[in-house]
Amino acid sequence: MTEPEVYDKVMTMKEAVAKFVHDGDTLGIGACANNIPYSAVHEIIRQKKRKLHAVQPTSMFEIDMMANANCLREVSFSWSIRMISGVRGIDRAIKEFGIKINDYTNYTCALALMAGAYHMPFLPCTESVYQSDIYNWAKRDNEAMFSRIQNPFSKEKKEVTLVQAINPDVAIVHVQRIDKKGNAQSWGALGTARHTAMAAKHVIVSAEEIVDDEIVKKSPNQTIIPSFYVDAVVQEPWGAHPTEVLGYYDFDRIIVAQYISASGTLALFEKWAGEWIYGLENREEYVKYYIHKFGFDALNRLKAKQMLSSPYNLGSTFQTEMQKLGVKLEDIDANPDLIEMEIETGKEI
Amino acid sequence: MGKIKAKISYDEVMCSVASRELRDREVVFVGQGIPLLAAMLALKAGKKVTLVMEGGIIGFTAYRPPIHIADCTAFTGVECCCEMVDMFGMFLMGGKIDVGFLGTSQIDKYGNLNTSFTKDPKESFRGRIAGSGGANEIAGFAKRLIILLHHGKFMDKLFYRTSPGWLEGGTSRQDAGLPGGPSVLITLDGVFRFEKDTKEMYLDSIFPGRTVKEIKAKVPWDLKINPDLRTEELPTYDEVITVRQFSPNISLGRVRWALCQTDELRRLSTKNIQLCEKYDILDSLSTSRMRKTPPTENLFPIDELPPPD
Repeated sequence: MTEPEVYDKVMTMKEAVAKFVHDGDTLGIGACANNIPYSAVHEIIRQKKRKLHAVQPTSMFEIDMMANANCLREVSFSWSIRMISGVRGIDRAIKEFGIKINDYTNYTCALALMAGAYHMPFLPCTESVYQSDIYNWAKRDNEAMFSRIQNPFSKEKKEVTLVQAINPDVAIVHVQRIDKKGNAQSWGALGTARHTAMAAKHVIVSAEEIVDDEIVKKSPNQTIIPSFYVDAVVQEPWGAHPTEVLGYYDFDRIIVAQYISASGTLALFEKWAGEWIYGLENREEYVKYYIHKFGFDALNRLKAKQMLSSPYNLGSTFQTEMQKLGVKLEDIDANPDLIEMEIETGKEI
Repeated sequence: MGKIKAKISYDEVMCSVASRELRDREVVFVGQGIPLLAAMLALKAGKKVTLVMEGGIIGFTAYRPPIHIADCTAFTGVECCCEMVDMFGMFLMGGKIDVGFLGTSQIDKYGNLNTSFTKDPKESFRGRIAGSGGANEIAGFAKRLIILLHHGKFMDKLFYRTSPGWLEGGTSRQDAGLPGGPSVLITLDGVFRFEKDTKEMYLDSIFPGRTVKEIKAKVPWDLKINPDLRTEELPTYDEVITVRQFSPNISLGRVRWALCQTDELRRLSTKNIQLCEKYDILDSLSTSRMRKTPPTENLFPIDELPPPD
């Protein structure tokens, strides 16, 4: 029953980032405001990856952090949160590190990733983009994000706006749970997690917990990324902190507030990153440091209370022999004498 | 017993007026901040609206203001969760969204919006505001658009057009192949609508205590005024209580929320963070800071209006 060759995907974030993220890569961040893979982002910063091209429609602080840490050469996104000083890491990085910013809308950026996931070169997007300066400025700067062609199916020879596909070299995604094989399960608002992962050549998935594949098989509709897309499985409790993971924990304002004030200048950021990123070895240490600094209660107050989903029937008329007896394989493994054979007469053909 | 006076702010008037714009059975694509708060007010008032958010959340009732567009932890239950492309590509493009409900930083006389840049980022790196997010498509494809201008500006010419309104007025939007269009703009001073043919903005009604002269001074073009200019009704006691209970804190914008959080944090030692959390001081200070009133006035989420003076 053991399949060692499929279980070698389980690794630490340090190993995963070292193995799959390379300087100059296009990095897809598969999250829109929730489930943000901060543990991967921090590891990328820690390993001093350079010249990355980050792609994510709506960014909270992750792109900003990487821009402040000089990890980026290019950013494709549509929205970012404003900072206290009025200057974000990305704005400053235009001047300091010469990064390039491609402005999309949420939909067009998500479409670019969707086109990537479906292996199409481009997808038609919307007229509202053509009627805006998002299109005009992209044309002005000769960016190959959007284009116009005549719709070959239109009798009136109407034109349509196109958005070019984006295929990241590597995607980072954080989910609620995953099995060792790599079937990633998530729930709540899904944002662009699926398309980002499926457009990418390599996928690193961190999860709050690694679960038995029986659990996955009992909720298959929750699987957003099937195992064969996933290259690295990382068990990372609190891996999306300070953003929230539905069913696990809520958004943490304290650490976000600290970051927002630290993003004011590069010197302040260096100090903050020294404390929260460079100074810590991994996510486990990060959590320990958080508890050390703010107390256990501060972390505990973020923990989600229980509200279980309603169970649904996945059964058919068919049942396995074990299901009929109501035993599991591991029960038999643990206790070989569990099953006692008994002859039932009258069953002969 | 004589009449009891209760103090309210123009933010609260704005919320309540905006909530009255929503109608039964409408599907409303809400933005963060006041749009959401106004939508919650409409729900509370018994309107059967379905609220959706671009992160992929459909049919929710919030018990606290969500922090961002995909914050499922703020809801007591959600009817459907999906992906962002579904939200825009299927529901919005498919004409299923009746109302788009957006805030903006800059607006011109035809309801075109700028939420991206105030300066060219190549010349000044301080020019970026927030970016489009979902605004461009919401403005482009919702059947009806409600715009809120909280701390933004009227502009003769936008520096950057993030989201299309009535474009150059007249039939230009229709000619460009875009459905819907802006229907109303609500500011802290009054309610503006758009003329049927020219699509130019005019002042339709004003809030109590505001004057036309005051409003005209904020608008760089010669603003047209509705000959039957009405004065909007003040929010009811119930509405104000709902606003304050639901959102004494961050409902009024992430920027100010973030500002206050950091500002507050500087003064906090790690020891009393828990204390602050307990009494929600971080939250309530933000409101008081924004309203430029001393923090003592709004220190706690209140379930009663302040006493008369």
